[in-house]
Amino acid sequence: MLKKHSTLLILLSLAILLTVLTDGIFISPRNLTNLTRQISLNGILAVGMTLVILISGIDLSVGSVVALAGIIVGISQSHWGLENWGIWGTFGSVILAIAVGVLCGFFNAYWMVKHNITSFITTLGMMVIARGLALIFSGGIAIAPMSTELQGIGNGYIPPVASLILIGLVLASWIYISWGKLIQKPFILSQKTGQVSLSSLLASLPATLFILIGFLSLSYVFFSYRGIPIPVFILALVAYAGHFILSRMTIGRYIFAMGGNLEASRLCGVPMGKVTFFVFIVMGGLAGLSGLILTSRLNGAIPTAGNLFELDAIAAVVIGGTSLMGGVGTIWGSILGAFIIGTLNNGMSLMNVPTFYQMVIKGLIIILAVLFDSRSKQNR
Amino acid sequence: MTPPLLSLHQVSKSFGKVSVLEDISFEGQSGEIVALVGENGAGKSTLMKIISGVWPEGSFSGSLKILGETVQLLSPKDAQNKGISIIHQELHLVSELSIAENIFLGREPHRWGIVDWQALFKNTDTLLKELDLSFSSQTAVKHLSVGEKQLVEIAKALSLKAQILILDEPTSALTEKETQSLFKALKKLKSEGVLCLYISHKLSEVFEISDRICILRDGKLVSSYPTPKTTSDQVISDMVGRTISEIFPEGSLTQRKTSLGKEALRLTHLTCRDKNGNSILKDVSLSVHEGEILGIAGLMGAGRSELILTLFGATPFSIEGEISLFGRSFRPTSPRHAIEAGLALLTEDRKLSGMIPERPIRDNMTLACLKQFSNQKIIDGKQEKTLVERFITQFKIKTQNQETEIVHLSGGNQQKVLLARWLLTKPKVLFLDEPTRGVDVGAKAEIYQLICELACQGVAIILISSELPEVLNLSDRIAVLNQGSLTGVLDQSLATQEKIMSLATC
Repeated sequence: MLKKHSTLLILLSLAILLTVLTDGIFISPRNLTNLTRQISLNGILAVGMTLVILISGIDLSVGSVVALAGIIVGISQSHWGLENWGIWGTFGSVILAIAVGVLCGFFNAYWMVKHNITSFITTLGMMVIARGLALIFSGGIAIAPMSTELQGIGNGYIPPVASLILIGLVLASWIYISWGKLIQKPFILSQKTGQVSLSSLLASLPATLFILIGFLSLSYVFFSYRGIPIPVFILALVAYAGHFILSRMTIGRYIFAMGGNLEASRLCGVPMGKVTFFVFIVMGGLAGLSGLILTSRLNGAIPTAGNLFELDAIAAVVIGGTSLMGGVGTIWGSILGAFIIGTLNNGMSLMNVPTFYQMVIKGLIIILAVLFDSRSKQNR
Repeated sequence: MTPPLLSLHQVSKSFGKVSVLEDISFEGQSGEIVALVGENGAGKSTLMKIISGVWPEGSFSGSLKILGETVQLLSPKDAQNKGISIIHQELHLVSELSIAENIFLGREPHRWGIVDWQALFKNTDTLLKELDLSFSSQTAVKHLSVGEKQLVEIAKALSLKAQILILDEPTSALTEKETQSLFKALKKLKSEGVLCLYISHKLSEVFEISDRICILRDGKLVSSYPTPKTTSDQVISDMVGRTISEIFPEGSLTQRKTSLGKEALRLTHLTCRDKNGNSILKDVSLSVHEGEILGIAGLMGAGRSELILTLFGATPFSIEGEISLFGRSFRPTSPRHAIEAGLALLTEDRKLSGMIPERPIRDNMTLACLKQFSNQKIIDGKQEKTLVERFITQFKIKTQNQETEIVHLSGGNQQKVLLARWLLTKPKVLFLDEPTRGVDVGAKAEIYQLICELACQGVAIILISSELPEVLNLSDRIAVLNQGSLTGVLDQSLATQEKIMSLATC
C-alpha cells in the first residue's frame, strides 16, 4: 500500500512538514486555493507530457509554444480588436490560442513521422522557432490589455455554492460507477466470487476512505474561500480527458503499446504515425491552452513567458512515476507530481526562502523523489 | 605424453528446470581443428559460452582444464587472458575505427595515457602480415567486407596470444572465396599449434577443414569421429536420431487430410532483396491451402523468418514475383495491411517483438483486434472482458486475473496469450514462427493441440520450427529452405529427419 502510493506519501509528508514550519499558514483555505491555481498550468502541461513520455518521446517546445500562443492571444485582443467583442472576442482568442498550439504540435509530429527525426531534435528546433516567432510577432515587448471576460479565465472562480454542487455531483457519479454494481446485485457477485469479493472490498476500503476524505477536504477548502479557481476546473477536465483516453480508448492502448514495445506494436498493426500525431497535437493544444490562461492571468502577453515550463512538466511526469523509457505511467501520478513541485514552490515562498535557493532545493527534491520512487518499486 | 590443451570433464548446465548440457567430456589437442555440429538448440552455443567464460565458473557443474591444470574462468576477459578467444556469429567490431584500433581496442600501446600510434600501426601490420593479409592497418573497418572483418577478428585473437580459438558459424555470411581465405588462415594457425573449435551447419566445409567431428544432440555429446573415417550420412543421422516424443496429437493429421479447402496463399517465383541488392530469398514458389499446415524447415539464417515477415509486410525488402491470396494478387505494404487482409503472425521472439511486457494480459491479447469491440474508438470494456475471459479458460492460461502483467506469466502462458491475440483477429492464414520456443513440455502439447484444432477449422497455417519432430508431426507438407532458396517440398508421409537435414545442408 505504502509502496504503491509512494508519490502520494511524499506529497502528504511534504504538506504536513510545511504546515508545521509555517504555523498553519500553508493549510489555510486561502493558501491551498492559491496553491491549486499555481499548479494548474503545470498540471495541464503535465497531462500532455504524460502522453508524450508514454510513447517514449519528449517535448522540449512546450514553454515556447505557451509564449507564442500567449502572444497570439494578446495580438488578437489588442491589435485586432477582439477585446471589444466581449464574450465572442474571448471565444475567438481561445480558439486561436489552441489552434496555434495544435499547429506547433503538428509540425513537431510531421518531422518525426514522415522523416524519422527523433522527438528530442524536432521539439528542440520547435522550441527555438516558437520563441523566435513570439518575439517577432510581439516586436519583443509585452502586449496588453485584455478584455475583462478574457481576464476571467485566469483569475475567476466558480462561486462557492456552485463549486460545492459540482464536487457533490462528481462524488455521486464516482460512487455510482465504483459501487453501483455492488448495490444492484450484491447477491450475484458474492455468490460468484465468494469470500474473495469480501476481502477485496475490505482491501479497497482504505483507498475509498482516503478518496472520500480527499473530496470532503476539497469541498471545505473551496467552499470556505472563494470557490474553485477556473484554471483548476480546466485542469480537472483535462486530467479526466487524459485519463479517459488512456484507460478507455483504443488510442490509449496504442500509446502504452508503442512505449512498451515498438516492434511488437508495429507487427500488431498499431497505426504508429497516427498515434504520434495525436499525442503531439494534444500536447501542443494543451500548451496553447496554457498560454491563453497565463496571458489571461497576467492581463498581458509577454514573449519571454513560459521559460522552462517544459522542464517543470517533465519533472512532474517523472516524479509521478512515469518511465522515461515509455510504456508505464498514469495521469494521476503526473498530477501528484505537479502538486509536489507546486507545494515546494508555495511552501518555500511562504517561508521566505530566497528565490535562488529555492531553485537549488527544488532540483535536489526532484532527484530525491525519483530515487525514492524507483527504490520503492524495486522492493515491491 | 603431454596433457591435452583443453579438456572438459563432465560439464552440465541447466536453465531453471531445463537441462541444456548433460555430462559433456571432451579433449582437444594443440594443432587440431575440431568441428562441432548439431541441430539448433542442441547445446553448441551454450558449450562454447562455457569454454569462453560467458557462463562463468559456478553457473555450471563439471571442470575445465588447460594443459592438465584446472582453470576457473570468471569472465570472457579472464578467458582471453588464459588464451581462449571466441569469434561470434555476429561480429563485434567498431565500424568507424581503423583495423589497428579495433584489434587493440582497450589495450592500445600508450605512454602516460597518450596512444602511441606508431607502435599501434606497426604491431598491427606485423599481425596482418602473419596472416598473409594485404590491407593496411589504417583502413577503417567499415570499408571491409564481412569476410575481411572475420579475418580481422582472427588477427585480434592472434594478438591476444590465443591458444584456443572458437569460431561460431564463421562462414554463414561469407562467399566461397572468402571462405577459402579463412580456411587458409585457420590452417596457418593450426600449424602454429592453436586448437580451433569450429561450429558450423555446413557439413561440406566441416569435412574439408576439420580433423575431428563431434556431434551434439539434446545437450549430450553423442559421438566423435576422426573426419576421414566418417561420412556425412553418418553425421546427419547422429544429429537427428532422437526418439519422437509422445506429445503430438494423435490421429489429427489423417482426420484433417480429407478436409483440405481451397488454395489460400500462393507464391510464384518470389525473390526478395534487401536495400543493398543482396537477395534474401531466391525464386521461392509455394502454396498453402485452407486447413493445411505447411511446415518450413531450414537452418538458422536460411530465410525462414524473412519469408513470413515479408509476406506480413514487415520487411523493407523489394519483392519480385507474384503473391496471391485466395486467388487475388496481394502486395503486403505494412503489418496493418496484412492483418486486414486476414493474415496473422506469431513472431519468433516473444520478448523482442511479441509482448508488451508491463501491460496486462487483457491489453496484450486484444491489441491487434481492438476495432472489433470499440465504438467511436471507445473500448467496450465489458465485451472485451468477457472475450478475454473466454480465451483464458479455453487456452487454460494460468493466471489470477486478466489484469496481471504478462511479464509475470510463464513462457508457455505468455505464448498462449499471444496466440489468442492472433486468433482474435480471425485470421485466414496464420504464420507461426517457432511457436514453442522457450515453452515447457506440458504447454507445448497444449499449443500443438490448438494448432491442429485451428487447421481443422479451416485456417491455413505456415509453421516454422527448428525442432524437426515438431515440423514432421504437425505438417501436412514440409518445405525446406536453404540459404534463401527452396530446396524441396516433402509430403508428410515421405519426409524423414534425414531427408530434411540433407536438403537443408546441401
